[in-house]
Amino acid sequence: MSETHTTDHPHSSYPAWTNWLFTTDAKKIGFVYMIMAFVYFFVGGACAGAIRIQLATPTMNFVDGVTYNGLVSMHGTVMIFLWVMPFIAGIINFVMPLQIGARDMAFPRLNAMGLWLFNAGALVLMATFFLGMPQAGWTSYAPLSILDKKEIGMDLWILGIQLLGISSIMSGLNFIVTIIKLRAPGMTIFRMPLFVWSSLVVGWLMILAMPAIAVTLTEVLLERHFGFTFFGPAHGGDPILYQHLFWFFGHPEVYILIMPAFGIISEVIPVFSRKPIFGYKLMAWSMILIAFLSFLLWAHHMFASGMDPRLTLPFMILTMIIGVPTGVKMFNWLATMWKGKIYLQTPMIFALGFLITFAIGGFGGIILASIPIDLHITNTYFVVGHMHYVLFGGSVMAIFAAVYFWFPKMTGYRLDEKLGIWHFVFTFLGSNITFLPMHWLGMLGMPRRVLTYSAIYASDNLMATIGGFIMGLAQLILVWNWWITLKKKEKCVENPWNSKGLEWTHASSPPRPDNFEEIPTVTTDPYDYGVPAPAKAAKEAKAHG
Amino acid sequence: MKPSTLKWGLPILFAFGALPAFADAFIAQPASDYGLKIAGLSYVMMALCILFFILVVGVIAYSLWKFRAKGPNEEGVAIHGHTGLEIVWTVVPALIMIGLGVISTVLVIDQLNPPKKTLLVKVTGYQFGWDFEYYESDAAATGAEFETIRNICGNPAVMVKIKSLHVKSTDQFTIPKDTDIRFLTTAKDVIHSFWIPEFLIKRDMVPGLVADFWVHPIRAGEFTAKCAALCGASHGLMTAKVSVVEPEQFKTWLASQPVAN
Repeated sequence: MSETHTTDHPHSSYPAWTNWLFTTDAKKIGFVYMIMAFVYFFVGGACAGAIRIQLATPTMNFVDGVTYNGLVSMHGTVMIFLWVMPFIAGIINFVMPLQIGARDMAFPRLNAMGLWLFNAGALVLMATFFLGMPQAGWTSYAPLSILDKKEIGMDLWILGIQLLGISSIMSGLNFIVTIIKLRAPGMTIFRMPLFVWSSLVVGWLMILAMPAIAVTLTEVLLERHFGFTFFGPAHGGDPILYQHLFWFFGHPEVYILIMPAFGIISEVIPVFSRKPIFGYKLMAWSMILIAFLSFLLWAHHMFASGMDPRLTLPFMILTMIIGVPTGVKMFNWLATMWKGKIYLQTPMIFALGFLITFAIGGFGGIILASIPIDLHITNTYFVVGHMHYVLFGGSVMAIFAAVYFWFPKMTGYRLDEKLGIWHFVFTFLGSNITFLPMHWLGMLGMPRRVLTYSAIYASDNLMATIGGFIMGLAQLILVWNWWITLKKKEKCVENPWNSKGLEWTHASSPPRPDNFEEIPTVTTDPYDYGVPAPAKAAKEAKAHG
Repeated sequence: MKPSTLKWGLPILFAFGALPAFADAFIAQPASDYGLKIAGLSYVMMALCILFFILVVGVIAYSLWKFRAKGPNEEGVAIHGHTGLEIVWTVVPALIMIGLGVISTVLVIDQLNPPKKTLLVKVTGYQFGWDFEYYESDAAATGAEFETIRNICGNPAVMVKIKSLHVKSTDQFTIPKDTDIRFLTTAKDVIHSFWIPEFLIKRDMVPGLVADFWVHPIRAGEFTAKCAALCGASHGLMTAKVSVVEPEQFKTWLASQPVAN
């Protein structure tokens, strides 16, 4: 790429905001993704709030069945497709090129088109709030999703997810090509920061998993309106086939949501322990192994589905196998802190929160992997609890760690530490109060996606509702923190966390449009802590002498 | 026994021993012998999870206490890894998984091999209710093979071979205690799921497909069958009362029911 390359049009006669609309700069695209993600985070949160109000007491009559199922469907859809996924796309767009010493993504225009498609898909999904929400949950199991052909919410949902899917395939392709082709000199594959590794793996997951949902939803659409039969048993279709196809996408999707969290945590813990990551190569390989295995265990969502029970056994075994590399990552993060010098600042606090809540999520996963136990607790609140420990306690905790960690890089200002700690305290307490009781609610006998329940589950549900509102209101602390930080405009130092990453050592904060004045040459491994550089040693000797 | 072993061993043993005391608070109280096994396995799993959780939180707490930086620009020791340790925490969880996998497989096989002579209860779900049909199989061959039972139950032409005790109910049904009962699940419109929490097992009810599971109730009582798959606007209201009664009482109840076709 030429030295004069710039993606903006400073001399054009268009107004300034069109810079953001027509930009092909990965950082600006990333920024828009992240801002939109947070907007939809609050939309999804509002859905969750309405659900928890309805479930606060067994006799609550806050919404009717149709609205309730719509809220359930949209809460899942928004949180997965419009919050975690675009945030991931955004943070990778912003950080990954900086980390590998590239000036932009490999295909800047494709990148812009991905953002446009994302915005279009998101608007289509938002339209369902006004025209009728989809009724079949985010999984949209057939034949429920094909039965009512007049239900416009379902068609809008299919259109929206298709647009978002194409956008994700474009992003994934861009991540892979950028990482393979645009690394700075000396940035060998095993010198890449683990966040870059996670971006590479998530790119592959996106381009391999998204086509499965595209095909499946196209079939649903053909069956709904064009007389085809794929899944409806009335004309010889197979409802179980839908589940196989959906989860062939759906399970890797779970790892699309958690893989960048692995990358973020692997960045934050070494930096705040001032110590190299423990077992770098094993960390990289375990991500590859987890991604590969994630394509082979989709039917663990279907143990009770009525598929031949003998065929469920290999899926149980593979599910248990995927627990091993995940456990390895956990232990390696813990070992990274050992004999480090720990700075307990907001990104690290959220990373530690991640370790604790993601551990609980992982344990729930192991329990669910066991077929006989799964047959009891699948489709119950146990699954809701488990899945939120993984997605909220895992992905979202890591997203918050990333926000506090890279905010100075993106804006040049550092978020307030005290407010950050309060944000963490209420988020952590709120999420545990909400999601922990769900485990025994499921074990005791409360199915998921119900709008009422027997009175014996009342106290735990009330607890979950209270916890949910603590967690939701805690997010206002984050918004307040942004507001006062951006208003104060107190420039922070260039590298406030003493990170060794290229994005901190070789780029300004915020970075210039082409990222680097000069493309750096990489000579060391990532997280190169604990080895005093000659210049630094000499300086220290001088200071002491 | 060394005092240190006692010091640590006793609280751990106590923790394990005390777990069943919380049974009612955390898991549905099992009403079948299979359910007891599932609850037992769940408690073992939970105990293992709690041990590992204490390990994780313990390491974090110790690290925060021991390895905190005191000045502004400190750096830790440049440890890049330890092959031995990494092998340990790969192999130990793998061994635990193998153990869990073996126990789980045994329980799956238990479900795959129901007794030859059972009371058959066919449950058909629809928006938003249930049909219950009772069949008694006295021909040993009918229940012998898994494939056979699926064919018999899915094929009405063969089904007439089974002695039919046709009883329908939408909001209440009765089953006998101390009897092997095989539930055959199917649906008319969309996917439902048949779940009596106290049996600790469920099976989806899929239109066009007959699935099955079997239980041996050991406790009489009133339970609730619940739909556990999102099936439409009134999904949350789709329940049925289940009475588990003594076998004699069941015969009386069955006789009092109108005989269909």
